[in-house]
Amino acid sequence: MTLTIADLKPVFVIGVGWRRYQNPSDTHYVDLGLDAARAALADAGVSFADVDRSFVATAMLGMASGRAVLKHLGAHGQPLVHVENASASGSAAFQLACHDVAAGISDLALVLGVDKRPSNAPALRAPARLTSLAEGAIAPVTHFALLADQYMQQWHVEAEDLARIAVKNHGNGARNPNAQRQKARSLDEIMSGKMIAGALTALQCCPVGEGAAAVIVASEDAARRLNVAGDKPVRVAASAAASERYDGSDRNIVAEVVREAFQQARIKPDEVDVFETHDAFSIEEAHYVEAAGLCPPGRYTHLLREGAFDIGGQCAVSPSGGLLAMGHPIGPTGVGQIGELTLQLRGAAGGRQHKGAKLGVASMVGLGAVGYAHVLVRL
Amino acid sequence: MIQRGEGGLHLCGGRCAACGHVFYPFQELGCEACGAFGGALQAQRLSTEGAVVCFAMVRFSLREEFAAPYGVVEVKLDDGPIVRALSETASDFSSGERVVGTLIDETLTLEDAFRFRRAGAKA
Repeated sequence: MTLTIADLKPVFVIGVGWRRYQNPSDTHYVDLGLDAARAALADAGVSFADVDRSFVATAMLGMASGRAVLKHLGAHGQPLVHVENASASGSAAFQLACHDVAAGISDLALVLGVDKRPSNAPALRAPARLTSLAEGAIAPVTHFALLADQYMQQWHVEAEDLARIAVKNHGNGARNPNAQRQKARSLDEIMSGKMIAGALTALQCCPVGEGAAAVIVASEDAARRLNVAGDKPVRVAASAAASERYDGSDRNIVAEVVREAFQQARIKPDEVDVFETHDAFSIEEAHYVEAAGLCPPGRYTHLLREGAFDIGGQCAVSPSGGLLAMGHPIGPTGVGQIGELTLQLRGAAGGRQHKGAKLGVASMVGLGAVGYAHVLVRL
Repeated sequence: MIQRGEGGLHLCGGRCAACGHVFYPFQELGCEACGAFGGALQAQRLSTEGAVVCFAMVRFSLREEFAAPYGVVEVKLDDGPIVRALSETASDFSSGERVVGTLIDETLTLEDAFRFRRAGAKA
């Protein structure tokens, strides 16, 4: 018999912090990571000396990069684990921390996502063992442009409908001080932007830059013992993960992993108030909202037009701005999603607050090969 | 990956003797459906004919060897596997359209010269 987080000790998120996501700059990643880690520790009201174990998510920095950050918080000898899982690196690190605390191995864990893309260079991928017919010609944006074409043909959706996803998320990002893109965009601006591939224009593609996000995960005992965040605890009700199937897709992975998370948390899709997902390209949001069961297949863009996925709508989707506007610095992205849900559930998200948010879900995929979903609830 | 023989071009795919999974390209590393490997994976010629699943015109490319614009088409081969390759023309393809493999330049390697064109269109 296997256990899930729902069978173990309760786990809470008691602190969140960011270093704003931004375009590649001269800022050293150590500075980025320290800012986010210190912000999360301060938010929780704890010190690094209280932390039993740290999990650092990076995908572009190289070996043991977290050490260079954490030693400036006071190296105190506690375990440190580095995690790489493509776009889902931060989600994977968060899951490991949750499992660690839920199992009673740690009382307090730091999850730090920090990353920095080398200027003018794409993120480095492991070389493929097998080549395809169009090796090198199919960048990620082309993969999603193909999926967009398929979706548009299947559901009779226009390019403009997909562009509305970016309009919503850029609007949300404009209300997020930690977002890389903080400018609201009109439908015309999105549509008339640089054409990249298929129906996707530049502003329907996420920026990959740099930044950091951190969260503090605590057991109930630790929260009580340290007398921290009495009115802040947000419980992690589910943590699910999956990897690809030979005949599957990114959408299938999200469907599978979110379904598993909903089962763990014993909730239904219509209970979700806030949903953060991997909208690296606009089409992905449509796929994953439908895959999560938040609306029927093929209905996403229709409901989007009606405002169902706006902040204040039926379910706020990507209130942070999503990857499209918040940005996608890789290592921090999944951690930042947890931070956004925590702020929303606390009622502390400022101008982008989804009123009355009680239940949030974060889902991520990593290069179409791994998927994660977490359910957070306000107590 | 591609061979020219009797009957024209074909793709060098494989079939898993353990589970029947048909795949492209051929490899003996292990079946993605069941994990069987080595001798359980048998070479199988695949027709280049199939039906379009979806299409995308790439208008911006960071790769010098692939100068935009160019078309990428996803095709469900009649023999089973789904593959992606460049299209011969930059015109849109619709889902379900019949296509077949062709070579655009006899001086290139088969892999570099391979494209999908509309079935019935002049090669």
